[in-house]
Amino acid sequence: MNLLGLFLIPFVSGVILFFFGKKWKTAQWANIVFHAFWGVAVYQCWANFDPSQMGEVYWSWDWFPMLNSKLALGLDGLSLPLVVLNYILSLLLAFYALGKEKLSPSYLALFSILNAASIGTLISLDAFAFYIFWEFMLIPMYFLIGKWGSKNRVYAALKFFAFTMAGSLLMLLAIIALSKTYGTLSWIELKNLNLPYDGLTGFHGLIFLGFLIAFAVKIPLWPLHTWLPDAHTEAPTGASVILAGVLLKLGVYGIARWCLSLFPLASSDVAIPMMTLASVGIVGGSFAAWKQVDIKRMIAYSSVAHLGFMVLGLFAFNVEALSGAMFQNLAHGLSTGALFLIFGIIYDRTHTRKIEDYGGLASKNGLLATAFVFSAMASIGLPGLPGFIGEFLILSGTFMSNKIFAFVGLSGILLGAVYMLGMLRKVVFGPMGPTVKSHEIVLEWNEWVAIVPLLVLMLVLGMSPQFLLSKVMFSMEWISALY
Amino acid sequence: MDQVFAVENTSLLRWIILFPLMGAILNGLILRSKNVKLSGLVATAASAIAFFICLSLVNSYGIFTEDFGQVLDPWFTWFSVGRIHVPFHLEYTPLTGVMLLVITGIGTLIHIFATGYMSEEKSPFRFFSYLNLFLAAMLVLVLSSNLVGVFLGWEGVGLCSYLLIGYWYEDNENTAAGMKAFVTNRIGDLGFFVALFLLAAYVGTFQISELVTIFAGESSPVEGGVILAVLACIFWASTGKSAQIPLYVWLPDAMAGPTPVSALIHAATMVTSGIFVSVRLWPLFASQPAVLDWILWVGMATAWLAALIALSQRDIKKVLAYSTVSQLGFMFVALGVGAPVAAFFHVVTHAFFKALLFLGAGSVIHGMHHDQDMFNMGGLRNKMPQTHATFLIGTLAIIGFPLTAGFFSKDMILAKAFEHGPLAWGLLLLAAVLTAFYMLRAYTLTFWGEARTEHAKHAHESSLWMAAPLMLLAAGALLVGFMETPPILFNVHGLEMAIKASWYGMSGEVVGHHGRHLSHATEWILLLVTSAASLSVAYFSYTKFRDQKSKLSASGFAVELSQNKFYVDEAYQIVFLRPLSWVAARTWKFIDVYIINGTLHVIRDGMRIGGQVLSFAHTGNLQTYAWYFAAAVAIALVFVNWVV
Repeated sequence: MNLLGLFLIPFVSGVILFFFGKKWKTAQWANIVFHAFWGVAVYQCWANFDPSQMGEVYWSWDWFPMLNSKLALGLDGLSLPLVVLNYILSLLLAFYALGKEKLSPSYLALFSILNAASIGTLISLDAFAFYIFWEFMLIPMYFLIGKWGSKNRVYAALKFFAFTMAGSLLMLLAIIALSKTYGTLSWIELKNLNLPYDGLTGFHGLIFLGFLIAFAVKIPLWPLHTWLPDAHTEAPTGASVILAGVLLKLGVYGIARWCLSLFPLASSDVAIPMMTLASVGIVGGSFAAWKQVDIKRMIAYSSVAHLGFMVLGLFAFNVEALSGAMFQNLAHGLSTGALFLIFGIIYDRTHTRKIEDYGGLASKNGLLATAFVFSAMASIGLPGLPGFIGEFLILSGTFMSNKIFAFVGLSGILLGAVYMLGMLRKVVFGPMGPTVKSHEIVLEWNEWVAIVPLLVLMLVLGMSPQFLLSKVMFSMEWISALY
Repeated sequence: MDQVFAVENTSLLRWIILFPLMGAILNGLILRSKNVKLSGLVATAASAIAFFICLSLVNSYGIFTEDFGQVLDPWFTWFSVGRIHVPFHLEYTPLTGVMLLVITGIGTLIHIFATGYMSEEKSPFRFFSYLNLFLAAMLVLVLSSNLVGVFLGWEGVGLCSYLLIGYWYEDNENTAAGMKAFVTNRIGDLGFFVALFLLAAYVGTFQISELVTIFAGESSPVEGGVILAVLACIFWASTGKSAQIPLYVWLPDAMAGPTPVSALIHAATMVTSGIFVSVRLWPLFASQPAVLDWILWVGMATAWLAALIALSQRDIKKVLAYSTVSQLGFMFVALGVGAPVAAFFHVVTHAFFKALLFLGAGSVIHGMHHDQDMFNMGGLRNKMPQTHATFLIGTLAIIGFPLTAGFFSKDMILAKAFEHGPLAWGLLLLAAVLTAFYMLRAYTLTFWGEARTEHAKHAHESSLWMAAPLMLLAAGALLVGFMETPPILFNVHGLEMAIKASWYGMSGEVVGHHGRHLSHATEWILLLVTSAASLSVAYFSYTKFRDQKSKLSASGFAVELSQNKFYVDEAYQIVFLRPLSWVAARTWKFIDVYIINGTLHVIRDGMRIGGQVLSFAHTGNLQTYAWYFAAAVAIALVFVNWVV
């Protein structure tokens, strides 16, 4: 497995892209070439993936002996799907970027660095290395929102930065405490130590909470979610897609990797409160999505609701719900990514996000409208598309462990239809709105190249999810066996 | 059950689904032709091929047969995680065979009709693509061997229904009706979800054959309460899809869609899914008589309510829509009194005569330049003779005119209701009488009397494309009743045999049900009473509306209530929708905007004062920030490795 390449290729590409100066066209094509190299590494990892191990370290470097930290890289059922998703979304965004002068070499460079950081987060099996990459993601994202965002970008970027930073500081403290106490930060070694547990306010309980809060901010769990609508709304299209598709998922991933795996007793103790917050997030996020007048804000709030489902699945602790949560990670990444991408393409032409400015998109560009409706249907979990598999597995798993939360989750399925179809009615259907009437909405070939694979993938994952589920099953069983 | 069935494997079943699916893709994504003939031909061909595959299946595996094993198409594993194992397998049973023929047969006729009806469309490919997609989803619903697969079809047909109701999407009312259908159905579908959760948690299988053979009856390995809850949830889902109280409200609005859609989806096929699934699972229902009582009275109330509303509607499609709701109520009553054969029999006959009536109405609307108000029609029998004749046959079938299809199925339901008890019979008979009244009113207002408007004076007969399917459906509405007749008349029991052979050897007798068997004399009396009551009311209605000249001015409290559909929609608005919408807006504004962000801004403003001291560093220049960052990382590295 070429794990080092998986991380280094986007990093090096990012550094090179900084030097393209004003040659934005060349940089955009170079970016695609870099993605081809990166793709080889991703393919190698996929093809050589061993589905019957959990947390195996394939490559390691003693980089911070003082902190007992090693750069230990591994790939298992928890991280594989997100690595692949990250690659696919980034590749499609590379195509989307073609011909857009605004997406300059430094934008592409920051984007590549962001990819390196998120991949690094996913494949690090050492707490400190994980933390470094985790923090590193903030920096390119801060600039992507703050420089390429829309009107309110500075406020949004700062809010994003402050929220996540505050969360991760607690995680840093927890990591230092672990390092000082046990002399190791390796995930597998910590796991084998069977860390003791002395209540949530005890030493280990606090360490656990330090991790948990950092992840809860990132997810974002209600009530820590208000940075997300601002960040999503102001971010440029590509950043919104990656934010929804990958970065939020890292919170879910983090909980599974560092909280559920290392602290099973503490996790059981917080299960009810976490599921309660998740449920509030599902209902509250759906309510908020229903009442938005800004399309991107609406999609962002729908993410809050969907991520609530995933947290619900994590804390049900059984293999059905866990697999559902991991699968929903992908499903949501594809469907919400597609919604942001398609709307971003429309926004590039119309420059308004207000729902009331739209209407009658179907009359203007039928195929694009079809793609939009398709993605919306995937988002509300229509059977045949991947959201259904995720939600169904999560909720039946939750039902097995706690019926009440499953019922609350079901209300999210209903509300999802209310806000999503309500938006479609006003944006895609109806008489043609003034904005739609006065703008040409014809897509370039590269924009179709960015959209179509997403739709195809959704169909494949929705009708034939087993090829992926079978790769991650071992890891899910491994975690659920702890409970 | 220890009985082992002969299982035959075939890969033919998947093609029944794949052809309409390919038709949908070809029309919707590849051809995108504005030529209605081409789109219509592609879609019709896809549907017709599916029909012929169904015919060959029925031919090779039998339909009216007692001795039946299991015919499976083990296609692929959909998903399998822990205790949840969902294969994507298709299954043929004689019951399925009947339903397949109805769906693809009537479906093909409606496709042909639509090719004529939609001739002035801008984007006919979209319509035909949705229509084919609907067929594919409906066929998944019918063919799937497990309930998760059924649910795929169940929500899939819901999607197509949504798309087709809102087909003329430029009109906000149509898209509102589409959304209402989808959301109302989702309320029902939550019940289906819960049923699936219960099965996953307590039963461990979604396979219909296993559910029916292992979990029905007293030897069931799981508690009866679980099965009861599963069935109650499935019934709740059925009130959505099959338009029963309290979720029927979407179906009348669904008439916003093109008329062929109303005929195919909202009369003949999709709305009977709830009954179909119940009959498929019948031995389970039979083992839980408690749920049957609920089904009986919900069905009865729906049959009545919808019939009362239909009495005063002016829109010809609305009359037919409420009549569909009412007839679906009849079918649920049949299930409730423990007569699945009667229920499914009515599904089949209703599919023919209601599709016929809707297409007839479509032909009328086409001839009337899209005016649907019956008070603007009148005297159309001379201008549209074929439509008139076929519509008359449909009307006679639905009111149960002797020897038409509706006569046999309705008589069977009434006889079974009588076995159950005189109250159920009496109430249902009155509902049947109401049917006779409002159907003759609709027929007479449309075709008799004087033409009341210019449109009616210049109405024209529809083309052969539209007339031919009408005639074939009319033949069906006259003849399909003969597959199942009472002992006193011909004594044919084809459908009963087909259905009983589809229960994997289970008897389907309702537990603790000691239905009296009616003597021949009683049967004759019931038959005569039913027919006499319906026909006399029908004649009364005909004479009352025959000479209708100007607009009706009937008024009064009861008429007002009926015309306004008993204000159920308004009540739902006030009781559910508005409060929920209010709460949603308030929770978002109060919690997110006011409390959470408010608190954050207080913190931020506090920090800003301190931050101004450091503001010189905030240059807004990317390169500067990058330098800051690099320097900070360098310092940190040095610090951590060498200083600590």
